[in-house]
Amino acid sequence: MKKIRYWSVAVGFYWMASLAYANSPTSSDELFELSLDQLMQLEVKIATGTQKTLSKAPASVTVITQDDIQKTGATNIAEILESVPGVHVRFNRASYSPFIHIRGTNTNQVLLMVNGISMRSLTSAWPQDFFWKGMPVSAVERVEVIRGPGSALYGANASAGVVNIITKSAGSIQQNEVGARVGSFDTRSIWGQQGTNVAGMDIGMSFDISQTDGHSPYIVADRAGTAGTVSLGYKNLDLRSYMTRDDWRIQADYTKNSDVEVGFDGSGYFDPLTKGSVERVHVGGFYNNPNIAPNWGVDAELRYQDLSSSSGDGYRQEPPCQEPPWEPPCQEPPTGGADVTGKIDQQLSSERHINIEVSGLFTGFQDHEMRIGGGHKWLNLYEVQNLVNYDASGTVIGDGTSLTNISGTSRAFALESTRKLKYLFLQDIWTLSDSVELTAGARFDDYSDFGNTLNPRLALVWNTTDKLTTKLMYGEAYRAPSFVEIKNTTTSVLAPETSKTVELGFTYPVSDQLLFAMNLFKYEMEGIIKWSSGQYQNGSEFGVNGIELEAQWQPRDDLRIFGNFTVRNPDDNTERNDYEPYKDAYLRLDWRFKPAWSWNIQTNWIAERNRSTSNDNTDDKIGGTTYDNLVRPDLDDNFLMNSTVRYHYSNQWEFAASVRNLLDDDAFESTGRTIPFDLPLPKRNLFIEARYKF
Amino acid sequence: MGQIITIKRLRHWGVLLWLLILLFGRGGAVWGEEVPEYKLKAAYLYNFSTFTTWPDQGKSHFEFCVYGKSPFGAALDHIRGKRTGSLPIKVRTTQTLEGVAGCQLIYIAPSAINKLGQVLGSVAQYPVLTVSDNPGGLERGVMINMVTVKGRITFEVNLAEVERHGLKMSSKLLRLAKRIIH
Repeated sequence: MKKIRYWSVAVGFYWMASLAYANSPTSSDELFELSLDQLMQLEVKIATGTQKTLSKAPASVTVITQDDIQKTGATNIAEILESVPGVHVRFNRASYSPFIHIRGTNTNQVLLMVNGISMRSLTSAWPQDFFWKGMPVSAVERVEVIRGPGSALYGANASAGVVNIITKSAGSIQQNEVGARVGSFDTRSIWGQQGTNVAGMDIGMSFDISQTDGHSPYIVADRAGTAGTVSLGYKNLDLRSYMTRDDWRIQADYTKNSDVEVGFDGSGYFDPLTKGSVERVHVGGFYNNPNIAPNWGVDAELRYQDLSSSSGDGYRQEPPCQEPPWEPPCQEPPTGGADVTGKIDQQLSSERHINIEVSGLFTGFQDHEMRIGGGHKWLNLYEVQNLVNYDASGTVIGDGTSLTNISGTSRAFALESTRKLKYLFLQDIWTLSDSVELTAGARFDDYSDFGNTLNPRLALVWNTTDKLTTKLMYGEAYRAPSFVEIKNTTTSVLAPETSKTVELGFTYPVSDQLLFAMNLFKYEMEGIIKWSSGQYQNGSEFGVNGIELEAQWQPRDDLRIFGNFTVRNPDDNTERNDYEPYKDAYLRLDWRFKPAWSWNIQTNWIAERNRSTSNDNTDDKIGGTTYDNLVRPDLDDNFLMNSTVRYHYSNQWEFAASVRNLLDDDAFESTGRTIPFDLPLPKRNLFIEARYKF
Repeated sequence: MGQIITIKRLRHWGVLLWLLILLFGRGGAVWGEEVPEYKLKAAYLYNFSTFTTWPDQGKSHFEFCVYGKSPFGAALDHIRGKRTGSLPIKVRTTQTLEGVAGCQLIYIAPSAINKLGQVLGSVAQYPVLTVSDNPGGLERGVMINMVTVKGRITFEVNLAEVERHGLKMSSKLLRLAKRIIH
């Protein structure tokens, strides 16, 4: 029976694809038949936002556009990032927060930014705050992903790569829009955006309100060996606004995630209690004048950000133990009765980040384009509150209902402190000849708490033939230790993690319709910060090399096919991220099968996630006694297929429907050995949406 | 075990499905609903040439030049064989100032924008329509500068330069210009 169903699906696709073939093609010749008035009505697709085409950019860059987001039916930024070669987004045990991994490295080595602001919290080594759940796409204009080191331009935490999400601003809100979406797992969103011009000033704003119950995965065993379903619901509010006049721009954003259910605590026990929240306020002022003086352009920015995060009534670090046997994780409570709450650890933190940066672009020397700039950052963790119901030895006090304030003591998860940072950067793009361009740059960062770091980069872009572009790139980068890492070091001064990367890239557009690209990469990382012997230390080295292959094919006006394939070859030592697949592939097809209808189908294949031996279950405290000495098999491959249909009913109305995990694959996310049977991903689910433009 | 076999079979079908899809399609065409920047700009350039009148130079071809690395890919192929006025268009790319001689229209590509002054200087005495798509191009002496505003391409005209080189522009072109400097 099942067999017949899949056959019919295949036949259906075959039939639809053959219809695509039967449609008569149009050619770009048509553009030349249009009048100027008509041409001025056409929307243009900007390749890069800069003067360089991507194939010539001195880095391995992928730009995801609004068009990509809409066609693929991505509703969260985390979904669309999986389409980038070399990038794998995995869902972390805590709240299934999306972790971006680039080229087989640790997620901590990724710089994740929204409009140039790092999403990193001072308290954590992660590229995002603890309750980040990705970001709704309605306000997103484009996403720029640089695989490869970015510290020479962006400073800290850009060892593996940089993801910059750019929201809509002047010029990119072309039409006012409101929209709504409903889907599986009781997921609901509404959004709207409006742009207008008042007295020579472009003003725009957008909102997005979403909530979901999450996909409630069934977990065979948590750290205690208990089976159960975890809740992963959350609510999101995203408000953004901007004002632009001449060379000036002001951007103000407010985002909030609330009722974020984490599912698990930090050690892998079920935590049904925690409903976290995080609020972020950002105000930025920007000035850009490309012709401030002969041969000089200038950019200046001043930013303020406030980030507050709270774990609510949680975290619940261990489940309650009410009766013997008092085996771990249960401890016999001292006098006062049985533990009824489990171990509670409530954490609240607030931080502010202030940044001023000025840079100039000088074009006065022939064949050189030089950028020189500098800035100052003031990073302040100004409030830390930490309440716990256990003593210094970790034993729950009494029945666990009374909380002790440990803020400001060495037991607190973090301490209020300030980091100041001054930096200078210089970059020169030197056109050596008609076909060779050399980019050389370096950035010097001087930190108040751990010293300074200098990170150079060099990129040679060679137009080898009319079509073939070859790039050879070298870069050094670093990750700054977080406040929590620095606090929990006793014997030594914690140094930044450093990396050295070599890349060789080729882009070959065979024709207007067909393009191939290939990137070879090799990372060498040193001083990776690890928890070892009760403190954070600069640990061992890690290296990874690999290859990314990309192809784009547009056989017809209305049909586009994209694909990429990545092979990662990491050092097989303790630093290997076994969440990361050795291989993954992505394939996407967009087909406008009727003028008002478009259809997308895409597949992610995540293959070969071999376990590190350290992830076998040799610790008899984990997974309860049932799973003692379990040798965890390597994860099965994930094969996730999504399909989206979009219908432009009129100039005003647009409708879409999307099925995610179309084949209902039993997909799992790899996790540490505390959860022996891994994290199930959502089964087949769907959404429908409507947009009204006015 | 039964479950695992089902997953494998699904994957198998998924692969087959892709193979089927890949079997289709040929021909050539433009991209999706939004038009790539330089395909659109190529069409603009063609239009600029048809709305401009050159003094008669007794030429057999209209020489349509791109200075610097051409960003157009194959988009200019469609101009070849078309006519502007009565002359068939010949498209060529040049990287040198010597190569500029004989051009009636020069588009200065972004890659060569730091040589803009030299290019304009070398054609100062000739009836050549100069076009760029660089912020501030107009002020630096280019006759037509293309600008992208709100996802659409518009253009601005330096009429003083146009007239100084003995060219005439149709009123229709001037009416559509977003900005004219005299």
